[in-house]
Amino acid sequence: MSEVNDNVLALVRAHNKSRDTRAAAIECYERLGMPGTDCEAYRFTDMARMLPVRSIHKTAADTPKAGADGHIRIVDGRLATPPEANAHFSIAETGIDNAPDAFESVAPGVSDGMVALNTSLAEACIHLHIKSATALDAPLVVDIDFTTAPGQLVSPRLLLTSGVDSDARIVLRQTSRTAASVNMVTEVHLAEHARLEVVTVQDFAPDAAVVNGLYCAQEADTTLSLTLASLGCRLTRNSVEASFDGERSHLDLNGICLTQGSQHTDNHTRIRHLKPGCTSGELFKGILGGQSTAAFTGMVLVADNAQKTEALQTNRNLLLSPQAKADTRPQLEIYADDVRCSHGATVGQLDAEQLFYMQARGIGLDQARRLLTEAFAADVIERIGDETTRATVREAIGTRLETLTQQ
Amino acid sequence: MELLKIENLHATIDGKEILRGINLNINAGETHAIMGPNGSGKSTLSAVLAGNPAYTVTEGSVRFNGKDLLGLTPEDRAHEGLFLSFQYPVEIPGVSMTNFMRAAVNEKRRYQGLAPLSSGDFLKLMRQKKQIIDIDANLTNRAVNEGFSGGEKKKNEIFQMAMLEPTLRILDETDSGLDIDALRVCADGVNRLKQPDNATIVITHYQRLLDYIVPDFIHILYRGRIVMTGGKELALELEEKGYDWIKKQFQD
Repeated sequence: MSEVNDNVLALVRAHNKSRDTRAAAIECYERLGMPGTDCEAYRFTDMARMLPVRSIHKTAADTPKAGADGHIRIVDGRLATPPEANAHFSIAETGIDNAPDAFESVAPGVSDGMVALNTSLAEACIHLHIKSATALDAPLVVDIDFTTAPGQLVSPRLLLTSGVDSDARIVLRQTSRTAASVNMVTEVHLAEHARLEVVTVQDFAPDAAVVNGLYCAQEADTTLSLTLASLGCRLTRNSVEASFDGERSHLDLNGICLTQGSQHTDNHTRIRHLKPGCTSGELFKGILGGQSTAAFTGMVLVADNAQKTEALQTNRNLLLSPQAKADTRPQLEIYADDVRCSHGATVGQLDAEQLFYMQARGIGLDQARRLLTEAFAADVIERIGDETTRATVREAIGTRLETLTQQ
Repeated sequence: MELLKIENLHATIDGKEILRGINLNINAGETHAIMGPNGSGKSTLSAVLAGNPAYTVTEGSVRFNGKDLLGLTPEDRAHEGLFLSFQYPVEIPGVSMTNFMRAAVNEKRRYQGLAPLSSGDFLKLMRQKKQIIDIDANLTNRAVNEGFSGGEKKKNEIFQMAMLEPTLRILDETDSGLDIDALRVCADGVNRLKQPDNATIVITHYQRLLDYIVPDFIHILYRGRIVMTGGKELALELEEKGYDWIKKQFQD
């Protein structure tokens, strides 16, 4: 039903194009509200309880400084002085009401309360465009920093578009030193024959609460690789949606999340095979310590015309403590008959025989646990195509695991 | 010099008593074989000595290098020079042999108050030790035991023994699942690594391995106790008469 609803509402909205974007979003948010556990997509995370909103962040007049090392830098939702114009990409900031056409073409503002809330509050739309027929050698690093006070909601809005036959790698490095409240939305659009890798690294202060929506649409003959490396904070909610709007495209969707103490991470993913001949591979892993919790939802929709679809999904969770808890929920809806789909989910602990074998060779229990846990995380990290990024992510995870694996 | 002294050792698993009063003294330079029918407690003895947490020691004591072995963690037992060659070496996907061995070697060095080996020195040591056991160079680039054949796994155990230079080597059924060529390679490795200051316990069901690793003493374990001790000729007698001979004699 929601599929139909989405389509109808999209038509209605297109019909009313002249309407003020923000006003429309506020109207949607009034209808949807902050999702609670009665909302199916937020069953494992009560937003109203877990995302503190005591005030709304408003940017002061002075713009932040440029990013280091030629990185693009976004501070509290606003673009810092961007790097000089480039033959391969462009980056610009606009208001919400005069955002580029691709804005709101992908994110489901009409059905998701958090997206509607983001559109209602985003101070700007930051648009990073990879120009057609270009190939970027080095990854584009976007530093997304948060400096806001606890309970002050920041709503960054990012739009990534890949031009026809472009080839690029983007790293979204989300960090905060404060217990920020974040509700970020990123829309990704790939034009025909585009190849794009987006690696999101979430390295927030332990008390931060982060909602991160990643909404993607792929035209024909495209390849998109998404990786989410969530190092753990009080709340991490990733809503990832990807739609195949053209034939013969491929999506890799990978995630690794680390949680400790009483942290909670909820990865909610939805892949929509709407056209024939597309393939998707999904691998999410969770490493949980303390009394932390993690949830994974893997929805895969294969529409009735999407023949020759291949969709493979795996979710594995490693519990490092008896109090940690993982929920995993694959949801396959398949309406085509000539498809190859699979899913598998596991929740387990470190193998006692492996630990003893390592100890018997003189490797202390803490280090044995760390080596085994790093090995568990390795295949997600190995799927990152860009070598530099892979090394950075491996190191960040390794550092975090040092504390996580100590008993 | 006395290396190991086991006195009245009792151990259980899941509440079931497997070792029921083991007494055994081993001096440096000696090779002891422990034989016995299936289920007599041979592998349990090796697991208890190595500190496998699945077993509980209920009575008795073990001194190793003059220290209370049972009071040490499994890793510290290894650091003190105890090495167990596993009957079923464990596969560890995702952990490379190189990283595994580097961690093992450097943790032992730390225990001894030595600085960790540099990357170059460590790789040199690996190369040098590989020659002793004639292990395929590619094996050390793979994950620990993952996809190794039975023979490769056992060779890998001896390779690890060469790397760690233990003073007490316990071979738990190293001959099981090995063809005669691999058996010879493993036994040669053990013999070449023999030193006046180390000792060997060979746990085996069959006499065959003892043709290659010749014991000074053979102990026969039955129902959790050593019921007979003799020289190497005892193995031949067992081969001839079978374990029924023991079972009849020591039926409680």
